[in-house]
Amino acid sequence: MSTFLQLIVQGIALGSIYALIALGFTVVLLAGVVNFAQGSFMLLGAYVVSWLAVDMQVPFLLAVAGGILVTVLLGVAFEQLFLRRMAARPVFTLIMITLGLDTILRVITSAIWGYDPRRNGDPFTLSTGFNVGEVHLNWGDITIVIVTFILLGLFFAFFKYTKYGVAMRAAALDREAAAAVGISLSQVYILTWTVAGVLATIGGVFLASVPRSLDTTLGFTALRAFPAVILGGLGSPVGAVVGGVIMGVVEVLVAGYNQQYFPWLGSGFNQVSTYVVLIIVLLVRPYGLFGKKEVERV
Amino acid sequence: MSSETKKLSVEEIAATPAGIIAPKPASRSIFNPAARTGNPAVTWTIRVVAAIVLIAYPFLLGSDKNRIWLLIGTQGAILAIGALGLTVLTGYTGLASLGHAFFLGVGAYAAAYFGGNLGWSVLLWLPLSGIVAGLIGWFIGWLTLRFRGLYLTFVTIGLAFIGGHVFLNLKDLSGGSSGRAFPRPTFGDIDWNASSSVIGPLTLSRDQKFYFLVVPILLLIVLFTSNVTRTRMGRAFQAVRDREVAAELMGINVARTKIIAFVYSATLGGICGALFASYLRRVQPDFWGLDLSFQFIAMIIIGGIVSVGGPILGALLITALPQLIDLFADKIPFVQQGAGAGITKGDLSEIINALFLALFLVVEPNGLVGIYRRIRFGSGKPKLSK
Repeated sequence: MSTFLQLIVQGIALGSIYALIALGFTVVLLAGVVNFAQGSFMLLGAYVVSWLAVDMQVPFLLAVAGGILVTVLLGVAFEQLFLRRMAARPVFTLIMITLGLDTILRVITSAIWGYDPRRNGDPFTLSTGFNVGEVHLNWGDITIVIVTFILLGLFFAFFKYTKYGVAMRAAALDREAAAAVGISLSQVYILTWTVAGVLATIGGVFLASVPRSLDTTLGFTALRAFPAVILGGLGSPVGAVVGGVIMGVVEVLVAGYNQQYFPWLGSGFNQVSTYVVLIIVLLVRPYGLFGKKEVERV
Repeated sequence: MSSETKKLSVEEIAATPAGIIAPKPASRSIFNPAARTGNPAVTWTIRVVAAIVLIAYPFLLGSDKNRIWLLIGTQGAILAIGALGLTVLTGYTGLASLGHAFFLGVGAYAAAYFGGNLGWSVLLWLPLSGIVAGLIGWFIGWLTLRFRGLYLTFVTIGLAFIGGHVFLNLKDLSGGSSGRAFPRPTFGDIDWNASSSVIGPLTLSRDQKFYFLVVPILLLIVLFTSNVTRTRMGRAFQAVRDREVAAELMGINVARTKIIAFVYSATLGGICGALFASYLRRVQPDFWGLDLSFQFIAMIIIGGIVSVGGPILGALLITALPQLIDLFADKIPFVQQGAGAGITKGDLSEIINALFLALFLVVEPNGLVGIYRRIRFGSGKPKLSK
C-alpha cells in the first residue's frame, strides 16, 4: 500500500509536468496550429536555463526567466515569419512546417551543447524532504506540483476573466467572427505563442530536474505527453490538465508494477502505456473526456 | 470569399478530415495524359520515352561513381509504393495517419519470418508481407472507426509507439535492439547477394538487380491505384473524405469504405516495408518509428496530397535531398567533419532538409503536383463571380 501511495505521489508530480506540456500544446491548437515543435521548445528552453545557471552562474530563477525569454521570442518570431503566411492552409501542411522547426531546433541545440547529459542547475536535491506516514515527499516534487498549480491558476484566471483571455477564446471558437467584432488576431497569436513558450520552458526545466537529467532526448518526452492532450479532448485546456495528471499517474504506476505483475508486456511498457490508455478511453468516449461532440450539418 | 480559403475553427480542425487534408478536389492522374489531351500519339510518345528512360536509367547512372543516383532511384521507387498507400488513406479518404511506418514494419517482419525463418521464395514472402500487413490494417481500421480528424492522427502516433514497443520485444522475430538481417529476393539461380551476376546478355550489379525488381512492381501498383481512384470505390473514398454524412446519404457504406482504405494503405505499406528492409539488409526495430511516418507524410505533402503522381515525385525528392546535400556538404567551409559539438555534416543535412521542406510548403502548399498543374492548367484558383 505504501508503494502504491508513493507511486501516486510521484505520478502526480510527473503528471503536473505533462499537464504543462499538454496545456502549451492545447493553447497553440486553439490558434489552429498542431505544434509538433513543442518538444524542441522545451529542449531549447531547458538548455538555455542550464547554460545560464551552470555555466554562467546566473541565479536559478533569473536563468529560468532567460530561458522563457528565448522560447517566447522564438515562438513569436516563428509565428510572425512562417505561420502567419500559412493561415488558411490545411493542417497537415502546418504539421510539416512545425516538424521542420522541431528538427532544426533539436539539431542546433545538440550542435551547441553536445549530446552528453547536463546538470539542470536547479537547487532541488533528492534527499531533502519529509515523510508522511511511509510516503516520502521530496521538495523537488512538491515544488513542481505547487508551481504547476500556481501557473495553471494564473492561466485559467487570465483565460476566463481578462479581455485578452476572452479574445483568445473567441478566436478559437470562430476566427472570422472574432476578427469581425474587432479582436486583433495578431495580438491573439502573439499571446498564444507567449503562453506556449512560458509553459515549454518551465515544463522542460521540470522534466530535466532531479532525479532526471538534461539531454537531447528531452524533446521526445513531449510526444509521450501528447496522449494527455487527446485524453481530455482536443482544444479543451481543462481536459489537457486533467489528462496530463492522469497520464502521469498511469505511467508511474505501470513503471512501478511492470516487472512484478506483467513482465510479459516487456520492459519499458510504461513509455507506451499512456497510448494504450488513450485508445481504450477513446473507444468509449471518441471525443475525449471533455471534448465536444461535433454536430454535422448536411 | 470562396469556401476553399475559409479558416477553420479548432472544433472543425479537431473533428473533420477536410480540415486536415487539402480541401482541393481530386484531380486526374498525371500518368494518364490521354484523359486531357485526347491525342493517342502524344500519349504513346510520352509512354515510350518514359519506358526508355526507366530502362536506360540504371545503365547510364549505374556505375560505382554514380551509385548515389541508382540508390536514389531504387530507394525512391520502394518508398513510392508506401507513399501511394498513404495517399489513398490520407489524401483520398481523408484519414490522416502518422502510423504508416508501423505497417512497413509489419510487412518487413512478415517477410523476415516467411523469407528468412522459413526460407520461402520471394514469390511467396513478398505477397504475404502485403497480406499480413493488410490484415493488421483491417483490424486497425476497424478499431479506429470511431476516431475522426486529429483524434485519429494522434491514435496513429500511438500505433507507431506501441508497434515499436512490440517489435522491440518480439526478439525472436526482430532481433531485439540490435536488429536482424532480412531476406534477399531469390529467383532461380540468380544470386542476389553477389555483387554482379549475368542474366542473359546483361551483367547486373546488386543495385541494378534491385532496381529492375522494384520498378515493375511500382508501375503495376501505380496503374492499379490510379485505376482504383476512378472506380466506384475510389469515388467513395473521396466522398467520405469530403463529407461523411452526405456520403452516407448517397448510399456509401462509410465504415466499409474507411476499412478498405486502411487495408489498401496497409497492404502497400507492407510490401514497401518488405522491399525496403530487404534492400537495406539489416534493420533495427526502432527504424519503423515515428520519424519514418513523418517522412511519408512529407512525401505525400511535398508531392501533392490528392494525386497518384505526387507521392512518387515526393518519394524521389525526399530520398534524394539528404543524399545530394551529403554529396555537396564537403564543399561548405564551416562544416566540421568529426563528431562532437559544432555543426556536423549530418546536422547540416538535417537542417537544410527541414528548411527546404518548410520553405517549399510556404511557397507552394500544393506540392510538386501543384507546380505541374499550374504550368499545365494556369493558376487553378476559382474565379470570383461579381
